[in-house]
Amino acid sequence: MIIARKWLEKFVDLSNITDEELAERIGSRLVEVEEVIKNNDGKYDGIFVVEVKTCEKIADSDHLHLTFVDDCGIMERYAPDELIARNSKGWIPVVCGAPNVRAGMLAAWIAPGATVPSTFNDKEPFIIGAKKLRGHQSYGMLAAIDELDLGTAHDGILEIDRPEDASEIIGAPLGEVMGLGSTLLDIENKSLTHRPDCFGVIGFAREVAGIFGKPFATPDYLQATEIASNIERLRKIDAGEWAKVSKNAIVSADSAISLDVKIEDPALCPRYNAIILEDGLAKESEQPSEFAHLCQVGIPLMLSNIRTVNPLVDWSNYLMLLTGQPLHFFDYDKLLAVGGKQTASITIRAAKKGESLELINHKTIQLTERDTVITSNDVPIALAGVMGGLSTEIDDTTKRIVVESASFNLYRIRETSFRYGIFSEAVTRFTKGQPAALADQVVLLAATSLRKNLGFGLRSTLATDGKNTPTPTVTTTLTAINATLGSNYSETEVESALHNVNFDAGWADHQLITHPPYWRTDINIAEDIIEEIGRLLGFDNLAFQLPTRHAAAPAPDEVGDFTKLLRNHLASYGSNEALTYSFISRNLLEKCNLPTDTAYEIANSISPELQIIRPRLLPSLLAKLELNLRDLDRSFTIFELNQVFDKTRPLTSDGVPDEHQQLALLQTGSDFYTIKHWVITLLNTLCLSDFTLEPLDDPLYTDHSAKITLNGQELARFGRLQAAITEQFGATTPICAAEFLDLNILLNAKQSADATPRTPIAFSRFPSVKRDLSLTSDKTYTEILTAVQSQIQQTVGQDTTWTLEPRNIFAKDGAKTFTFHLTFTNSARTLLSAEVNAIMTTLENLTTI
Amino acid sequence: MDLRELKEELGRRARQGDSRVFKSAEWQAATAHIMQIEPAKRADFGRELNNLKLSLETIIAETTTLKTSAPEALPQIDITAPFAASTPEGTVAKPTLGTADIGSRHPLTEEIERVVAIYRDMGFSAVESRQLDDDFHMFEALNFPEGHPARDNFDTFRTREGFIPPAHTSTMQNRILLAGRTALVEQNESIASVSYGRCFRNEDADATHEHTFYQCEGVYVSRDANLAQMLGLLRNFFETYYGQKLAIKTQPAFFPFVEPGLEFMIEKPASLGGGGWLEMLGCGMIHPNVLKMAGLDPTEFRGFAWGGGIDRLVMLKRHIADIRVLESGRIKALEELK
Repeated sequence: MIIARKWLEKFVDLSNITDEELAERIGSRLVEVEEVIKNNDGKYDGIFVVEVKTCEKIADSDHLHLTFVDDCGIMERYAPDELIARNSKGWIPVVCGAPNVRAGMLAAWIAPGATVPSTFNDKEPFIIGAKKLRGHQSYGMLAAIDELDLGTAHDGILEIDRPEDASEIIGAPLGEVMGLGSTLLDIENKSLTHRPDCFGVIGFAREVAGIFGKPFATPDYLQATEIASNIERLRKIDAGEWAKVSKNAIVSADSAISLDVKIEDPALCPRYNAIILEDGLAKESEQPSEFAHLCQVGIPLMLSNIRTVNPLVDWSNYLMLLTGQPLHFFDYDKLLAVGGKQTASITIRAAKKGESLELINHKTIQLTERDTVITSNDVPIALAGVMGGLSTEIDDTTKRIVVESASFNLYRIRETSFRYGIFSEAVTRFTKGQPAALADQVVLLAATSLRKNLGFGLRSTLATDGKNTPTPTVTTTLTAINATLGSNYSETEVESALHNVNFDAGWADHQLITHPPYWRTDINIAEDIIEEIGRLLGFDNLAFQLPTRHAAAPAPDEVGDFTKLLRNHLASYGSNEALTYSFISRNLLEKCNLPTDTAYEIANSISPELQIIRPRLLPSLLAKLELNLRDLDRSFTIFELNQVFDKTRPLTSDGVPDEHQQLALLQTGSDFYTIKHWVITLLNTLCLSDFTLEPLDDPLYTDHSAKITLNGQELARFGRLQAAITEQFGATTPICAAEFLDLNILLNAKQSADATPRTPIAFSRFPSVKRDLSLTSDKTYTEILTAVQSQIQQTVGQDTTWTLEPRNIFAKDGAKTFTFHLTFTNSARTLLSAEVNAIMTTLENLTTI
Repeated sequence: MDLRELKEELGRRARQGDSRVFKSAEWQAATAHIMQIEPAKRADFGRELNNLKLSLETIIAETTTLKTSAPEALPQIDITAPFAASTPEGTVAKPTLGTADIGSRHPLTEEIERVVAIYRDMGFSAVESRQLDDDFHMFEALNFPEGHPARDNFDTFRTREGFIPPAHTSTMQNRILLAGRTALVEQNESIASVSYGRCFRNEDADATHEHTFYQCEGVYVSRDANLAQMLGLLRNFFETYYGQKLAIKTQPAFFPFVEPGLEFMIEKPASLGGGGWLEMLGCGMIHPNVLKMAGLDPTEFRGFAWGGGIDRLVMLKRHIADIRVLESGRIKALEELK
């Protein structure tokens, strides 16, 4: 949202406050200012109001005139070096080709050396000079609206209205006279979603006054009482005028046109106001000039980035930007025709199934029962609060209009706006929840504005339905305010901060009793008042503290500590940690021969690549295989530790999907025994060794795979992956992987291992005896190992400890020879060779193998 | 263009197990060729091309089934052995781990650990945030009524089953409050906890936006918590994090779960070049409705909460220009961030 400083200044005194100070203060106490836009700085420099003193046709031209203009000598001061050959009266010659140029008019003169505003932001701005035209010296130019970048009109030069004392503005800079070239503040809307009042310039100005500690006077036209009788009073005045001017009034001048308004469901539309106005009450000459319209409405709209369309639409937009209340104008005669009755009957209701509506953007929409429509005699004519219908759109022939000023259910407006993709300035405001009371004020303001400025007269009484919800009384205490903010404010400071922004607030028995103004629909509880005070007086002015708390140690983050441990170990093993998206494609699982129906599916996914939530990590790493194979000249191990979701698991007691951490590793240049070594080393580091190794049945893996279980639960699986799968990911050599499918199981195992009392280690001061043992068998390594261990256990005496380390396995002709290195140590004495030899003999003669 | 020739060539490749025939230059050329055909004949060509596509897909499907139905036959090994057996033909080296010099941690998980460690030093417990949650925790418990426009700022994903991959770590707030309630009410302990983890927003990824990102969120509730404490605590955190004294400033902001709500900024620390301000996080006093949702009486207890992005901290620190590198899974790029 763009807020023009010049427009703000009509309501709040900002003298002596720089743009930077203004933006800084707004930023710290109201809302983020995304940008202070000054690209129009200097745009109107060197452009002055002049009076055309003489104007004579140039003989050999069909349209050029030689004029002499009076600048009251401003050029002498503005650009003393610019040599201008003035005539004897001190006037400046300017040749002008506009049809409307004439002596006596006030015009905008672009002085030599100044830039034509319409080219100001061009790559090569056009700078006006002095030159000879048809033999006549001419300085600068008299400018048209388009050249001044104030619109598209180019049918003549801009005629500036002559004030009572023209000397006040002759020679004055055009920018000052017209309020041009304002600094613009680009406001971050998102932070104001709860502040409908700030979506109008008056509301915004009120806040700016408040944060600078200045009292704000809300204009009377937003605090009117007796709206209906005011409108009726004006209508009666107009009725008298109609009798004088109207030749085409269809209804007799003194009787009001009947207009009926009915809200079917107040939940959809709390308040609906409508009045009928007719064009042609005032004579053309009594209506504001183009210049006046431009100054009053056109320029504020342009500064706010809103296109000017025609006076009626401009006024509708202007009043919305001013007050925050969107308006809609229907063509009354079209509305009657659509309804097919003699009198207008407007109903606001939910749309019905099967109804459709052609909007003013020429799109026809099929309405749903969640949309709210405005109907004429039950025929939909507008999508409430979002966009008008084509059938009642005002056009150049429109004489009579119905002005709508209403409030709608913000949630429904939002829903409808999203459904049809319509995002307008009106939607922006209606979705903030404009209060019903504002709709009442602005219907009167619209009536008075259109009467005064466009020559419209009132033809109906106020047709209205619905009611206003008054803002609640909110009370709090100074203690609560200071305790919440950590501040030390006094009753006076608090009260005056609130008064500045028009809160009715006062202290009674140490209670702060506030009645928020009707536009503050966001104030409902004490905390809202406390925020107002903190904000208006400045959060940054608080004296910062630290929490007062007991020194109890925080509970450990067991999972976090554990995953950190795993990550650090794996990195120290030489592997690289990666993070990949939680959302994957179905195709990825299919490529891995994994089922896709166990995965949660994203209903509003960005792309098919991100369609489901991964139930397993390994496929994500496989998807990164080709990229890394291409990048790296070395073998690598990539791992990720993250959460996964499996739809087949039961929900938690919270009613949400069970989530668990997985750890997956993908290894190139590897084989079964290497990946196994990594897994076993990691488990041993976690003090886990008492596990079982079993064959694995997993479609991702080849037979060179295994799983490790402990107490019947799987800790890990690993092995060489199927080449048919890895080839799809760019692999040409075997790829191995390891997966810890549920790290909770591993963590529990580690915790229970940690909790198990350790066997005391007896460090012996006596020498160890070392022996090698070789056994030949066709059994598996584990079977041999178990046999050896149990035999040693049976044979060694008390006080003797031993270790066993596999040294070699040699396979030949179907039989394998296993070599172990054994170490025996006694804690109380030196072991005798004979003792150890006896043990070795029993081992060498093991029959169980 | 001769489609028969194309069919023969790509069919041959598909039968050999090349599942990427549709990515081949030949196929791309064929599809691009459509636009060069005169409009009247385009439909015929399109139909033929489609038939060819279907037949190639069938071949690929059959070949793939063939592959999966016949798992790779490898020589039998003893899975219980710690290493491979040597044979008369040669000795097999024993397996080893890699070396630490080529290993690397991910900058995001490292940064989370660092951030969390500081909060833990400050007496906060820590818990990882959920990655799939429900509307209640993501919105309702945080004072976002159904249909509230403030929900728009959170471009949330939803699953067909009605769950939400959370758009902020505040999804843990109700759980944290509930977990700390007893100690708070009965033992007069404060609730002091951070939650950290992965969040998701439905927006297209570009150099500065990611649909997947990391946040860290803090919650503090006691009988005397106030906004000045919050600002003091946050300043203390960032001073510790950046190892220097820092000026801070705030900006009013609207989040339904806090009142008042603020954006928190710090002066750019010297280690990042200094000068200007950095928006670090959103914060505020916990809204009474949020406390009530967790069974806490807002007249007795007050709290504050804050949350900010971890990715941003990493990007600032390591001068990362494109956020997407973080989730790229590209080892070479991540190694350079070490």
